[in-house]
Amino acid sequence: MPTTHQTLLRRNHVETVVGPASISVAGIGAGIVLIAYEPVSRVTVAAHALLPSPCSQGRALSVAEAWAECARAAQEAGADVASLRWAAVGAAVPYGCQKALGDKNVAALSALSDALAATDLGGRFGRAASFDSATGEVRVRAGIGDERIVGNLRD
Amino acid sequence: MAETITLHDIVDKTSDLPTLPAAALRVMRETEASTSNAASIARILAHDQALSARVLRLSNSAYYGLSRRITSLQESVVVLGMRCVRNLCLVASTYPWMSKPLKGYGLGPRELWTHSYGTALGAQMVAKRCGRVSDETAFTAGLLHDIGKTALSVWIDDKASLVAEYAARADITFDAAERKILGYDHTEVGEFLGARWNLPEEMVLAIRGHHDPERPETASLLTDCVHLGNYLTMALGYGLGADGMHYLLSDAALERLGLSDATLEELAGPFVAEFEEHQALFDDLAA
Repeated sequence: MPTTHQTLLRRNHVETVVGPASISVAGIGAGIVLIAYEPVSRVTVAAHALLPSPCSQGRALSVAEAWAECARAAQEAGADVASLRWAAVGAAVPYGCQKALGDKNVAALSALSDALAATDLGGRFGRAASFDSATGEVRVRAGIGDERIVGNLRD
Repeated sequence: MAETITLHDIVDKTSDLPTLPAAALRVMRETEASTSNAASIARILAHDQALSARVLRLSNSAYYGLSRRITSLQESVVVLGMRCVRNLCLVASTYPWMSKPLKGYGLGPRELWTHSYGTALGAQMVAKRCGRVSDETAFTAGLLHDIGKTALSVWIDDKASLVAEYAARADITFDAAERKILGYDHTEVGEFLGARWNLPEEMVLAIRGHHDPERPETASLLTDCVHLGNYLTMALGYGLGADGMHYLLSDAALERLGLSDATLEELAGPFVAEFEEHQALFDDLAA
């Protein structure tokens, strides 16, 4: 039985796993965590994006860059990109703000896809998320609430 | 929920309340004096053996990548610089109690520290970008901005989710919910503590005003820097507890500093990079 590859996803990073994968990520604020899975090739890719668009100062992953990099990495690992199932988690916003980073991140995500298999976006709480390729479940804990399943990338 | 309590109750009846070592405060003041030098800083630190030992250990952290070992406080100031040693004093003084969990705010071990250090970094970066506020002062004020939570946490205890839920239901900020339920919010307790510690007045006002920079009594460019440093830290997900991002973001604070929301986005990458680079220092703090 192949060993499950356990990964802690860091901010600004992209991770790729071929085979059984367990990915966890904490400290999701206004940024967006993307997780994609393709069941035939058993490729999992995940990225923690911080900004809505590429920044001239560099060094911060944008939603568009994260999406493109996940697709590229998945294809390179043998996945059929068109069959990837995507989840998006994050984009918390502060109170009463019209131009919050989280809102901009959601807008950037909407421009990329309107067919996400699992989402948990917005609100005012930080999140922790996890994905287990064995079950396909995307789990999220917002604030100090209970963990819940927000979608499945194997269904 | 708790009965009517006063600020004195909160501060005086809370056990294990943190204190800032006198030596750390004196170092802070000394580094601003034109007559200060490596010897004067070292003399002050020598009065506090525990703090001295921590500062010396941090000076030799892998983070600084020095080729030789620092063996004295004076050498530490000469090699690393006065500003660096000043910050090491603050970090060494605050880490022990900021690394404790705060049940009342849903913060686990080291999470208050993560958020406070992040706000210190963020406020410092904002101050440097604006060019009109001392970035050293901004760092210190950012580091201490949530000291009030250490006292108030005990009074909220296991009711953190109730305060958050009340805020959501009433559509008010978390600090407004604290005032409704407890009579005070953590910025008021922080102001009280900061004054008791004899922190510089501008810092005490920034602690009080960091969630409401429009409040006239505490408004200043320093308050704006701490406000935005705090927002940047929350937006990037560092040390988010039961209160999450349930606070106001002031666009006017950006304007007063001559900055824009694009500026904050530009700072995101360098912020994360610098925070991760400091991990070696944090590991030495925890050792």
